[in-house]
Amino acid sequence: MKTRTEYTRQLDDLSEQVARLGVLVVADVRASALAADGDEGAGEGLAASRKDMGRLREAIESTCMSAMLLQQPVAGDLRLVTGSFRLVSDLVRIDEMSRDIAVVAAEMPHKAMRSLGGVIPQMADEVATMVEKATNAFLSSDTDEAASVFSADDAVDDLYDEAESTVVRLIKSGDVKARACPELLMVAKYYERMGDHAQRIADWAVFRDTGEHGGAGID
Amino acid sequence: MDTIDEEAAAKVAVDHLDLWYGDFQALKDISLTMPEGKVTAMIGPSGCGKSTLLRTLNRMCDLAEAVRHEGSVTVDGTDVFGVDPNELRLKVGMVFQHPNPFPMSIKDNVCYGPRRHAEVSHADLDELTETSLRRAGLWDEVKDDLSHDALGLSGGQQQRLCIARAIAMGPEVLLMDEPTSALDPISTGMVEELMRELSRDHTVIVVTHNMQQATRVSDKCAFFLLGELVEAGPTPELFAHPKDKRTEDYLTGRFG
Repeated sequence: MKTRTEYTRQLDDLSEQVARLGVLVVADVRASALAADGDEGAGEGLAASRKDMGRLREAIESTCMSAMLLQQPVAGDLRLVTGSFRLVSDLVRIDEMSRDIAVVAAEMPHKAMRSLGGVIPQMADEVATMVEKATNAFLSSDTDEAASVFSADDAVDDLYDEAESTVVRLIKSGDVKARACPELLMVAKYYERMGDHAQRIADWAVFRDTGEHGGAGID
Repeated sequence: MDTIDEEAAAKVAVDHLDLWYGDFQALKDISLTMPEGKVTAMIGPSGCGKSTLLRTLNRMCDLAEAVRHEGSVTVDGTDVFGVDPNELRLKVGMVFQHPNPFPMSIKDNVCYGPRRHAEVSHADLDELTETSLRRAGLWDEVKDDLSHDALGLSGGQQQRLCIARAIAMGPEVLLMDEPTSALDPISTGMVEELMRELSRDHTVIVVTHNMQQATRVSDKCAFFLLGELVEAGPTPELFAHPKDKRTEDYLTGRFG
């Protein structure tokens, strides 16, 4: 006969909740790029998702607390529960930054973001893929997929450097109003920070599989 | 976190119960309800009165010489002290700490109660045997030889047989007195699973020394100390936020 079916169901629920949060965060990162390009609907959608995100975070934390308090998980189960408890903060932080990008973009001159060329959509795409892979790596204990997230962060860092150089050039040339340049750099910095958080999620994936935590993405 | 509805109907209600063994007061003014269709766990150190209370629920204490009590215990609103103990025990079954199968076959163990309390046909007994053993999670292991001597089963199988024997009578309340303390971890896991499963149709009340077991299986938990009920509430709340320092000290293992 099977044993601990309720506990098993609780762990399955936890994985499902983390997967759902990952999907929502990836969608919000992609929406932030549209909002940065002036899509008002994308910005409104991001603002509206805040409460759902908060509820899902609370549900995940509650499931983790309940499992630790009542079920005494050990070994791989303990790493799933503690890892989920930690990575949910990174996922939610990424989501908050997506929302911040939409707010910053709404206050900037129309299409100002395009003065950085295609860097912002590229960064958003890279980061969204990183978050997707990192979450999947955690859920499947796949250290190879986690490793691909670490290497992808180099590309995001390169894009940030490119954005920074462009902003400096724009200020010098006076092509756009100098007032908008700090915001352009801020948005690029948000994506660069999101990449760091995605690395931290990938680190929790390695932790789940091996028990070792490397501290990637932590300043 | 999962919680139970504190307003869930009380299947068993203990109201201001005091019980003395001679001059020694084992239970002191206990008031506690056990919700229907849930698992209630009673925890506390040895001698705290939890087993006495459990045994009082189907009158295994108060009939002994030199035992006296005050207060009431009701099952579905009926005072258990006012009904015939044999009649009460049809409704309130018991599983003990050590497996105690009768020295007879597996099937005869399961059918022991029904044969004595009702006119049951052979076909019905066959069905009852299968149903009870299935619900106790033992059927697949013993179905090929139901005439096998029950004493030849392993400890974990014997305990599940005792559970099957208890539920064959269709009790509404199932009392379990440290039902896994004599079992290995695998058998313990099976019996814990059964407690959860059985609580769908029965009100389960379990005494356990294992606090982790209480968290795993129970919906409501009560902590006893020196014959007093210190605190009771939904299990997640009791373990996360005990209101009484004595409860917290016991749960965290701090004494002195």
